[in-house]
Amino acid sequence: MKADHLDLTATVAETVDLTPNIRMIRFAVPQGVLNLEAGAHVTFDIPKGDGKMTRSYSVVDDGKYPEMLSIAVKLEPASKGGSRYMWSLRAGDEIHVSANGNAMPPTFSASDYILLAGGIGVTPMTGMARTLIRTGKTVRMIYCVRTSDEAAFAEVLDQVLGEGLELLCDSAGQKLDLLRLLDSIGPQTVLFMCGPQGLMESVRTGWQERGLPVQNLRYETFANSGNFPTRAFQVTVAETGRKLRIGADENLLDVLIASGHDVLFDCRRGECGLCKLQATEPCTNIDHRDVFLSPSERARNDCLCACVSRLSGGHITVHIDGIQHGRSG
Amino acid sequence: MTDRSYPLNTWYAVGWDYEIVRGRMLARTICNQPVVFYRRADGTPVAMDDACWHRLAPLSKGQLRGDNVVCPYHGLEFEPGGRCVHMPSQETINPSACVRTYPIIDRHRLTWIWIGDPASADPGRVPDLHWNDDPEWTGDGGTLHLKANYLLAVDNLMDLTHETFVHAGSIGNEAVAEAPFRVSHDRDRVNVTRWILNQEPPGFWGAQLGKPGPVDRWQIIHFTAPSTIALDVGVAVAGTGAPEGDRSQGVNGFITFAITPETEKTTHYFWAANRNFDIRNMSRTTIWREGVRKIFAQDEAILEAQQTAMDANPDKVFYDLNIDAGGNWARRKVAAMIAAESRSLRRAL
Repeated sequence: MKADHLDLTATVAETVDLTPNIRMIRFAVPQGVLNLEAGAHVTFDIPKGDGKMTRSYSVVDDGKYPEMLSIAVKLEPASKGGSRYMWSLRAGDEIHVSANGNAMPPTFSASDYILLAGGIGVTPMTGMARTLIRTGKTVRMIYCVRTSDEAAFAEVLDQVLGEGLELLCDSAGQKLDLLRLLDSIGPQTVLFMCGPQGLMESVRTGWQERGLPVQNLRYETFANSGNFPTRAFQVTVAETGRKLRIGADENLLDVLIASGHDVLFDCRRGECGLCKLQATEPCTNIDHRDVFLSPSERARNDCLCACVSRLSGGHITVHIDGIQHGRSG
Repeated sequence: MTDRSYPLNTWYAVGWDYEIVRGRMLARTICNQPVVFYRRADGTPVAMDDACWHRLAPLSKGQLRGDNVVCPYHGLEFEPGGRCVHMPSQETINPSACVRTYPIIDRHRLTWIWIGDPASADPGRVPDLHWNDDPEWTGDGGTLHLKANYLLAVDNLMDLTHETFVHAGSIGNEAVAEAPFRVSHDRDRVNVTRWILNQEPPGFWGAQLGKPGPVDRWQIIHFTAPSTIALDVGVAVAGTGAPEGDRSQGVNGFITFAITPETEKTTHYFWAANRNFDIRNMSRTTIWREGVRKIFAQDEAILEAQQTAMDANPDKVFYDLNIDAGGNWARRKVAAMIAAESRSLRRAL
């Protein structure tokens, strides 16, 4: 387990509605405790019934002001509880920070950068844009939103990037030409991205197909979107025979732990593969939201990462012990 | 908020450029941070945290594969930007698997790292030690690994009164300790100028000048915060106009120092003894280098003893004499840099 866990109270300093459904929340935090450089994230404890759940948010900051933590929260209509709770916060309220780290640190080794943001995935990219521009890098950013209402950071990014910013608004018929984008990328270009799973998977696949250097594609995932809408589903644990219901606002890992199942996990972001479970038989309903399994492993439909992946509905029986790890060969 | 005695947003020398080579890794701690150094095939230097992302094993004990570092423990491979490009036993690579890398640059025969906010690393701010590689100058130097806080070394160089006592016979004599000096400062710089007029030269300088009789001797200390010093020293036949700027009847050296905190109580001390006369004479270069090396060994002994005494007397404080004016200005410049770093943090509120 990494030492990025902490025990810290943050006080809401102010809330600013950037759009009708995206709110910036700024917290006063003790100086020098949190890593707030571009790409960093912070995990909050959020009350849930008698217990708590955790939600991670990218910081909007770029490390210049380590006494202020800013995040942007999109209010989800079918909120999993996280965004609704965050939206209930008022200046002076306190919240517990339980972890902090940077899963997408800036890299300064290239001279040419592309930032690709989809929707609320723009949050870490604002700090990234500022940091890279400050270092004198060439930065081009493509910011995709569904409606202009959603373009919470368009104005500030326009100030930072000017001509370098391309805002694509889906409702105005402005579509991302992904193939053209990928074809324009040279071996020295670093691309940072954060956005919906479909977008990121297309880029990852295209990147690999073109043989672009693996180190030049940087991305962050909180796996809060998948190939299917987020719905409730059911899981039977083969070892205990217990049948569990995973609500639309829950994840399988939390439900397994809460129901007393002893399962391994670490990153909770779908990266490390420690929480992988084996299905007793192939299941085509699996909505893989991790970035650990390779396309061929996914295609077998016989395992899933409990921290982020779900079913599009229905039921699956899984083993939580005797899990096969390593290359599938 | 900070107990650090050193700022982070500055260039620190990590070693002589020849110490960082292709095909081999160098482990060195800078500002309490273990860092591994090596060169890419094209010669550009790389600095990354000397701890694998996975289980923190020291990467410097691993091996290089092309321009990449392979961890000695489980074979994770990191490219020069710090991103993991190979992991064992899995088909994908965790997107967050990175080790921190640092801006690093070769200049004036030294290699410099920016350990603080990489976004503010400006190559234009590498301290000017051009005497180390200026074609009109020649010289060579060495490294001390000093078991003392780096500011004790700065104090030592900002007040050369100690030459009379620590370096008696070679460069020190009674005249140094009793000659007046002028201290001036501007932004991140401090200058201390001392002229010792019409005195017999100490042994080393008499031999360099090669002319009998009294000399006008100068010691002009150019300090750039936090810890770079260029020491302009020399002697000229007394009364030939050296204080007014005519050094033609004298000999001149520029001793350069790049002083880097390793930890709070240990220091990398890189020095070079340069001169602008008789520059094709390699024997003289050796004589200068070895002479200066002996002098700095005397400084090393007193500074380490001072650090030991400080540790043994934690309840005691320093007192200042007027000879400490240069060192005190230097420390004030350093304190301002540290304060500016935490102020830029506070400005957000």
